[in-house]
Amino acid sequence: MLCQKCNHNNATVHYEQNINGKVTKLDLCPECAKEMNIGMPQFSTGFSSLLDGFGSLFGEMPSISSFFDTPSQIASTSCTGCNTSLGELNNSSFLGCPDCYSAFESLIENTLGRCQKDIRHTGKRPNRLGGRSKTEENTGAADSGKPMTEVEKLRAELKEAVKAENYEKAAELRDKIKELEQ
Amino acid sequence: MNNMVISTRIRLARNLNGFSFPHKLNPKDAEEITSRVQNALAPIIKDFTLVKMSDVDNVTKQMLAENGTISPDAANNRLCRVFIKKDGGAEITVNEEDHVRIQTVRSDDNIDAAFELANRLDDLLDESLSFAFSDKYGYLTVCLTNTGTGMRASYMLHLPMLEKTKQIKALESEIGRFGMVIRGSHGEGSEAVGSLYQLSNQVTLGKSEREIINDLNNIMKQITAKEAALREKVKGDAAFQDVIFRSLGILKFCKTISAKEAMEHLSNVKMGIESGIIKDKEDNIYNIMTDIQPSVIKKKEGQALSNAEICKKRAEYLNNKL
Repeated sequence: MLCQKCNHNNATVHYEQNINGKVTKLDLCPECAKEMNIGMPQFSTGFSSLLDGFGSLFGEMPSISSFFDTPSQIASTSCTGCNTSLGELNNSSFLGCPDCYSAFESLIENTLGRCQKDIRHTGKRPNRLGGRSKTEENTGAADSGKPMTEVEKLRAELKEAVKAENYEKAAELRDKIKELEQ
Repeated sequence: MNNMVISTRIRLARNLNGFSFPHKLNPKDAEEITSRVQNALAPIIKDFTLVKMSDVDNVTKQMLAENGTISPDAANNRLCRVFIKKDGGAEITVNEEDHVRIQTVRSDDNIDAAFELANRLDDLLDESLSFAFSDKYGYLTVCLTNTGTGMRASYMLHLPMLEKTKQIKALESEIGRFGMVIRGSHGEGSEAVGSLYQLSNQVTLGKSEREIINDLNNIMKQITAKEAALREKVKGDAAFQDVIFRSLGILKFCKTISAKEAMEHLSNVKMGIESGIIKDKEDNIYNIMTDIQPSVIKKKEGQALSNAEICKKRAEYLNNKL
């Protein structure tokens, strides 16, 4: 495969950018990639080291490629709140301030997608924003600190009984839950 | 209560809108955040002692780090402040990794009570502080491994038989699938001294606090049931009892002993008491484990003690206790 930029050398650097789901691919030779500041190994170190230890959870972690329009934009992208640059972020894996979440949104979303269960928060909320969590609204529980209800407890026991292959007990529990839910 | 559970901990990470995160914070803003937290705590502030890392001596810092009140990094961070509840069980750390970290600890397995207290402290702070929060991502934290609930719920577990039968590694990868992690008792990268392990949630986003705690409880129960089954199996073996009584003998008669060695024997003795092999001792072993840590001995016996002297003092203390 030939380099898409010089159309001369062999393309060994394969660059992928994802802007809000729109994926563009570039195949470059090392010289052109270097000129465009693409594929430098230090690019992914910070955030991928953050993900160390998640291997067993989510399988092999792909390294983070860049998510911005052009390489020049990558260099100049920084958070207006605290001046944290993308380079800094990659090196430390620490965000600089709450505004970084919107300044580096696509990068953050991608990383969260890999290291968390979901990218949607379902837990507690500050009081000024309504206080209760979404799951609690669904189940109607008023306080996230509230102990489990009887049915919840039985459900948990049922889960365990099934896991332990204690089907007799599981059937018993299932009937009890049914009774309580009627 | 489950006697393999040593303690239970809940930690909530929060940050304030309008400030850089602590690692980018200037001293003036750091002070401002401390005073805002202090004001927010006003209704209950008399129950707390404020410890400033810039003012406190090294032994106290070491002690706070050893008992998990602060991270070792925080001990060296002059801008870090800790509000410690006078009767124990809760602390609020300011300007550590995040602006605010609420931590509650119990020396039993009542994780619901630990969570309830942390939640109440969070509600109180939330009344006057504007916590950084996004509808989508939840509480915004410095590190993306805490984003969402900002909650780390954990159990400290005593698992000598799972350790001796080399099953901890297998456990690690098994529970990883459920977004949980198990590691040495002093957190990331630490060795498990005295067969103490910390089981905690790794996932903080996409599950509610309640779901995280339920999942953690579920895993904890399975792990401790496994440990109990292993103990039951070998309880009658002479070789097993020999290990336990040898450990007891060493602790009773040693003249000098390192913390690491003492922890290993105390772990065996604790298991011996729980299995009914050692009959005339009460199970206060975890307290003894805490008392033999270098910082605690130094605090009691004098800060200038050399390492060799600490090992002697430790042996004396253990001879008396056992």
